[in-house]
Amino acid sequence: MLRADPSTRPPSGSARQTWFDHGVIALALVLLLSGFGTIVAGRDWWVTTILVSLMTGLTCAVLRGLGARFVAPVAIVVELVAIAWIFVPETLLAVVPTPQTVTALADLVAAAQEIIVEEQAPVGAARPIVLVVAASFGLIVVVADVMLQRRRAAPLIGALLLAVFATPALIAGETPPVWLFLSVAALWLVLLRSRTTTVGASRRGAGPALALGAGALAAAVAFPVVAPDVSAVAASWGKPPATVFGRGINPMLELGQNLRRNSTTTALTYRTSFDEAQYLKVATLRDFTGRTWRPTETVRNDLFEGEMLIKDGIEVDEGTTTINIDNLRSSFLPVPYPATGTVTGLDGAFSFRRAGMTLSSRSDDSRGETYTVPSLDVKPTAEQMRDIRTRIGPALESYLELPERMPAIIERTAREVTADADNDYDRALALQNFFRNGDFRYSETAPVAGDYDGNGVDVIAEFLQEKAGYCVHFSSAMAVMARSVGIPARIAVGYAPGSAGALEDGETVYTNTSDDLHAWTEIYFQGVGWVRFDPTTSIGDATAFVEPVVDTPDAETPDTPESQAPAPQQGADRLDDAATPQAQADETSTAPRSAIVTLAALAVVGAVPWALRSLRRRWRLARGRADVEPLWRELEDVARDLRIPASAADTPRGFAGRLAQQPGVDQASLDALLRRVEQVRFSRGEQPDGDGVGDLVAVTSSLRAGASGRRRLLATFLPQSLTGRTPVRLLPDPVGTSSPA
Amino acid sequence: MEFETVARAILGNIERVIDGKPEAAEAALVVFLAEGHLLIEDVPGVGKTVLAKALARSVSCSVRRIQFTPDLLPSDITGVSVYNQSDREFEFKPGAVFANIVIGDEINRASPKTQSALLEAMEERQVTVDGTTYSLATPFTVVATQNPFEMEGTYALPEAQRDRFMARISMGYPDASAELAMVQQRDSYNPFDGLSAVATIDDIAEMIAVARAIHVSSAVERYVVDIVQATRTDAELRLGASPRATLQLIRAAKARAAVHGRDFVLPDDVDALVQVVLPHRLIAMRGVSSVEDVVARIVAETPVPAGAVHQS
Repeated sequence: MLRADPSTRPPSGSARQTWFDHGVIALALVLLLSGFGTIVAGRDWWVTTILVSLMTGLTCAVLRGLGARFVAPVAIVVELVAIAWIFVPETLLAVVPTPQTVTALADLVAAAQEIIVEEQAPVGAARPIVLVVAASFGLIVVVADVMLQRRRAAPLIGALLLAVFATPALIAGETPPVWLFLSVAALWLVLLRSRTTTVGASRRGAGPALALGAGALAAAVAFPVVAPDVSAVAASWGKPPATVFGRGINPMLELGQNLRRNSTTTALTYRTSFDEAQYLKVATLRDFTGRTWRPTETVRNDLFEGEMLIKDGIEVDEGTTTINIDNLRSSFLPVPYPATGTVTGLDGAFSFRRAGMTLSSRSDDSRGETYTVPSLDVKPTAEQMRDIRTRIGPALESYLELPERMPAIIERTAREVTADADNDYDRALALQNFFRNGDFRYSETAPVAGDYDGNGVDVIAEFLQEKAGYCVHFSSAMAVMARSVGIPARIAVGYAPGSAGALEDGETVYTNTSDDLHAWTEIYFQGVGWVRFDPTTSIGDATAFVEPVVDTPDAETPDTPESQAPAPQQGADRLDDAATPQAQADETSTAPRSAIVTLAALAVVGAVPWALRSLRRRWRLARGRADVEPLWRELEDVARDLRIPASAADTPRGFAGRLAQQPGVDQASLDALLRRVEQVRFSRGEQPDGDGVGDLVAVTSSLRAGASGRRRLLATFLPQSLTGRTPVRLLPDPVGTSSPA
Repeated sequence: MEFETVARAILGNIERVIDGKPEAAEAALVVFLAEGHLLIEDVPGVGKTVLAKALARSVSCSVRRIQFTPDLLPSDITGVSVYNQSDREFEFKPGAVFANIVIGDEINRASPKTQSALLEAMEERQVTVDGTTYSLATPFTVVATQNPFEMEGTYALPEAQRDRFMARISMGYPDASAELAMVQQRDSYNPFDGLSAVATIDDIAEMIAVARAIHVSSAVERYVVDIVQATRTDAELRLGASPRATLQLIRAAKARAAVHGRDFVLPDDVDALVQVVLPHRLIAMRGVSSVEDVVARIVAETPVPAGAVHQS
């Protein structure tokens, strides 16, 4: 009697096939991960991401191997725990996440968000970024695993791979290499073929699908080659005139890239009624996060701008500057500082930002604009400047804000440099001279080579040691150092005075190229306003006001409690808790830790089923002294673990008949155990003598000994019996059960 | 009298005349000991009648054989009252059913009326003629044969009448070696010559009593009920098994357990008998090729309760 009916057997791909598909997807994801090198710098994140994905993927594989349900939720939980172990281990209670874990992870994610918004790709592999990338890839693995369970998974997986492929390209704006696309596409075709043939469709059915897939891929690759004009036009849309401060959210970061750009183009020309060449300001950066400078976000009236603040007795020249934009595309317009009154000649909706007096537009850009800006040249004497005691009110405090933790070298250097000065002006001059006349040299490439490009506190510390950098480093360092000694400071981004050319209407025409892009420091002096200091060596002009004393009473000097705001004291506090070696170490690589964690977690994940299974067996053997049922249950589970085909609808004798077909089985013990269980279950209730523990041990060990090595391994590490009893299956009857004795 | 010894002896007798068909022999014996009736359905010439005769010869009991033909009358089966001239009264002449083993050859060739007469006797174990009721012999077993392919001049047995048979077996063709052995033996002697009765009628009565007393655990009862219930709800079956089938399946399983020397029934006894006890009672949906396959699937899908089953 044959019980099996092939037509009613549920369709299922072979285990080997599933592993193959998973392997293909894993390979494709690893390849795609390399594409993320364009948006995340460094190597560490690679290791961590692969390990987290591996963890998650193996969890999926183990659970699928066990035939468990709720694979995806469990895998996500495992992933989260692994991530918590790697990134915020101190918040864990042994293995168990605590509320602090959630908070810490949320903080990291928020930090990552900030970095993503603020920084230009490629971003450094800071922990928040690694966290986000690793978590995302882990999730992608889970999604791919879920998709693979579907019959028609290939199109979905294609879409998934394409999305992962496109992400770095969209973020970085760079085309990923063709080989990457081709190899991932090839892997997808392999998957497509594997899926189409295993689902039960005929090869003939798979052929057209494959041809279609290959054709589509070929077309996608060939399109740019066949239609070169299209790509040329597309390229020309974005490039000339060079976009400066346009798309970018943070001008500071684009500066270095623009400076390093090989082609030099004329950005603008201007002529001015002032005697001196003008610094033209594009943007003002007030807020310093410790990682970067960014424009003032809070739009509130900033009271520290413009002519009305200038104290009587300070000499002020008025003049106009006419600017003609050439090859500059930006939503900001360069203007001299401080501008006054109305700008004339503008074609477009531009308006002044109150903070920093810069000109910008939400909708229009700078191309082709010619406009005239009236502005002031504030010329206090050095003596006037030295007399100024800036009163730090609430509105000014944001110009003194510094991150909680800073490398100690910054403030130490600032204090050393300014040690001899007794007023803000002298301190500012000392700082400016420290950079301009010291050992510092100008280099646009050294920071990139030394991997300290940027303007965060760490970069500044590095810069102070390396003593090479460009305007971003100089201005950022000076501004941070000024703040660290209690002087309100900010950064201006714009153009350094260009090169003088021909005269026009009695005014010199200056030409600014893209190489004149510049950043400098502005320092606030009460009664004078923001004064430009340019610390960048060999660029622009050092600020120094005429030394001959002009008699000015210092009656206005305020003397309020706020003026003694303990800014230096704050700095001293920071010195203590800043940049301890521990803090430094925390910021370093997550890779070794993640490797250890992953290995440990893999060992645990691998050992958990085994441990549970062993406990259960012990418990059953103990109970088996009094009752045969636990022993029989154990025998059923051993068979299930060893992947011996059986069905829940088997009679005990039928089940024993299946076991009897296994090689090397201890038939005598099996029969004894069978008689025992039959007697207990079906007879009038006579209890057999003794217990069946010995028989069970003999049978199970003979079953294990007779099984192949692969099945033994599966039984040890993936004991299927943990996920429940053998299901009812339609199987051929074992030989000999149709006529039991 | 050892139950198992006698059973083995009877089986041995049957197997001497029918080679290579131990399942059919066992099913026949089990039905006999379970006081059921057996329907043997197969093509001509495979040994249906020989099987019945071998069983009859092994037990020293009365045997009657009826060849069913379209002109057979009910009175030929049940018997008839004839007027006795000398005694001046009606005298009952018993028909063919008055025997311990009644062999009905080609039962489906008789008219429905005649079939009914036999089937009524099978169920009631008594015959009423002219207002007088006569009890049949004990034990009483009908072994009927029918030929599925011979459609001409046959009257198909209605479901209700098929249900009266405890089991239906098919002989099937012998395999090559069995057929060869048969050729060599039959050439020299008639196998029936060597057959002698190995059990008396009292032995059989005692064995039937033993088989009745075999223990059926609640788990096995539940198992049988589950299987029978499943036939009633299965999508591939138009007609499921009757409660009579449930009783007869358990009865047969008890006899089989006794034949195998056990005093309790195993679910395996049920599994082994379900294919002879159930299929002839079931009607498949249109397009289902084989009722046996459906029954096999149902058995394969019905789990055996592990512990004692309580009424809930």
